[in-house]
Amino acid sequence: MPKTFRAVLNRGRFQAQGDRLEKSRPWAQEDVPTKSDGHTFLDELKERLTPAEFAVRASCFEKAKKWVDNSPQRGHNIVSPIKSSFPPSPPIRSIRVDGELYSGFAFKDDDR
Amino acid sequence: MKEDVLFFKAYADYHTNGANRAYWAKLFNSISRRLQENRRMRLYSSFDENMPIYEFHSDVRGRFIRVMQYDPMNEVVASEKYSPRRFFTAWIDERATSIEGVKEPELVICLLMSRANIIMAKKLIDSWLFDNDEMTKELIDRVYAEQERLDKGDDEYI
Repeated sequence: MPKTFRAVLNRGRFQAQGDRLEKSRPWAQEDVPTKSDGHTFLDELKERLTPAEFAVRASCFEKAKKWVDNSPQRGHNIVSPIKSSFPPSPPIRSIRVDGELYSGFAFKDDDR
Repeated sequence: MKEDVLFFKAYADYHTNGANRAYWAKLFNSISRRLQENRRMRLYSSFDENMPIYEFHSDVRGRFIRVMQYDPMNEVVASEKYSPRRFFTAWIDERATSIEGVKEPELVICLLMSRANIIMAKKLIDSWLFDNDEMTKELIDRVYAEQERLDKGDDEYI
């Protein structure tokens, strides 16, 4: 049987978590998401939250954006799934925003 | 605050950051020996507060531990408005082990490296790997109760 080449999609998601909340903004795309895309994903997740859900996670979103901005120039190279969490300062139970990178690359620098 | 917190410059100085990682490596090495298994971990090259400082996977127990730390020099942490004990939380999550999406349970601990917080982290890690999940959940509930108590201004240690 001939071998077929299957391109690995760039996959991941941001998720607002904690206190029984679980809302996410996933992506699975051929183009490597840029840092601007990362910010857009987070903004879109923010729009899915109620004002109260967002209020307790405002600093989590800021941290997540900083994480996106601190990614390597060519983006994270996802050899095995990467997971990071952004709880508020100080923490409130399990309230947080999660960033999960499953495959491909994520958050390369924007093209100039 | 400064006196209570270990690795104060963990996110400002590479040597301190290395020593901080070595602290967790030593702890998890001893746990690996107790579990009689080969250690498996991922060390990030990123010098970033928002990335885990240490991750541990137990093949024997089929579960993960992810440790994240608050930066002691962060504006809110350093303000001394809160006790170092207030910067501790934990939760149980799931973690994909491969691109295929196989998942295993994961204990996540997020702490400021004060002596009291390290003691609590060790209790949670022990419970997650050597006791049962109910015990771990009970300890996490205690952490949340402690957060509420400290927010009410009760600084008496329990």
